[in-house]
Amino acid sequence: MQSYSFKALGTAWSISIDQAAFISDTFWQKVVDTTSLFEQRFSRFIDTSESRAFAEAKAGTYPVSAEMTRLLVAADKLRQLTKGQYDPAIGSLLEAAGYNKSYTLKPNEQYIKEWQLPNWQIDAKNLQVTIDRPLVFDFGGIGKGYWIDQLSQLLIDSDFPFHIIEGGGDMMATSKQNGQGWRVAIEYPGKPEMALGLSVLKNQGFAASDMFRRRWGSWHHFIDHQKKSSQNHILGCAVIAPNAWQADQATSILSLTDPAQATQLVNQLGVEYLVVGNDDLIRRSSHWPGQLF
Amino acid sequence: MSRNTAFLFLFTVVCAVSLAACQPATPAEPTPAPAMESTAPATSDTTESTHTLAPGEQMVSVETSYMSPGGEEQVGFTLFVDEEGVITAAETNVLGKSPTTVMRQKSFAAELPTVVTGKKLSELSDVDRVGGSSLTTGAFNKALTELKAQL
Repeated sequence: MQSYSFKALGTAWSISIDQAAFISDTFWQKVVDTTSLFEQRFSRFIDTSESRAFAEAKAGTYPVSAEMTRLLVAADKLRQLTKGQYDPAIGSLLEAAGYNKSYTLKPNEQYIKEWQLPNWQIDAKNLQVTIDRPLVFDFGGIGKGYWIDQLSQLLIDSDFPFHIIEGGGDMMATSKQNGQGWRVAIEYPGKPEMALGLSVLKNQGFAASDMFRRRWGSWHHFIDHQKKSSQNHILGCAVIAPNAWQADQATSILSLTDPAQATQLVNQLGVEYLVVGNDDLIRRSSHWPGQLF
Repeated sequence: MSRNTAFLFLFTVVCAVSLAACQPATPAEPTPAPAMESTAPATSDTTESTHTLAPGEQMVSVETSYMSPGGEEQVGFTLFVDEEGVITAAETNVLGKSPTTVMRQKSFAAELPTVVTGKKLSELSDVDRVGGSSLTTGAFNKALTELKAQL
């Protein structure tokens, strides 16, 4: 077993490869460099990123990269599925609430009062986005899930098919060399020393989110843009899906929409989920793979 | 009838009535009452479950049928009961045939809550990773500490 850790996209990453093969420093550097490039291109905390490219732009139609188009197409589907509860155009609202690159963590009440949700459309065929006002995109967890899967593909293409990749608690696992899966303990929301369950991941992605991290004042990073405040439907949730990207998309739905509606939507996606409600009771999909404690 | 069996019978009736009530009512054919022909409980160790049996805890499973607008459907339930007869967990076993029934049974199953006490991470062995929400950045926590210091 060979493992490597690094920091990127504002969180800790770790990769384990269950192979005896020699893994050069050059390979690990490639993993770090490509991840850093992805961050440069898509993090809203970086001035020159594509996510911030329209922060000062006038209404109009602008070209976007193929990868940005891919992210926006997925975001658009989520936006439709959640009837607008998920919308990556909330970047500037998060910034005004204080979650910005300077981490002011002080809400700008006047700006928040006047803030209106920007409208945008993605034209996947022509790689263009149309906006009605300046906007900053914030993809939330789905950008991270997307990148975890990209790294998994990079490892497979580099002849390291037996691996697990974790980025800030979300992950994609293939299998171990002996064909077994990877054992993953699931953290109890708000209780970092406790596990609420244990699952074995094999060719599956995992994502979780809770309302305890990235919290400041009355805000945390899941925003109800209609009420201009943070969501408080649930304490946390975890999802197991065919890949990390789908798992992250499902956690966004579970975190942002009304619980009854959310579980119906997620059932349609064909993923398995756990939701920890405000009452501390756990609700889970009928085929959740794993033990609960 | 033992206490556990009585619990299970009552629970099954309530669940089956709820599931039948979930079906969309058709004006011509009002939602029929659930048929309760096969509620004989059977202890089972083959049912897939995410609940770990605690010492002294028993698991009982039952399958029953009810009428949906699409015809008769099956559903199963599993109850976990501790030494003092307290129900510690309840699970739905999705056995429906039609896609609509499967979807409704899945939604019903998800709404059946479970109490989880958790286990210390340090008590778990052979864990490859801990999955959880995103770790906050050093910068975020540093800013929060500084902000608190200003209050």
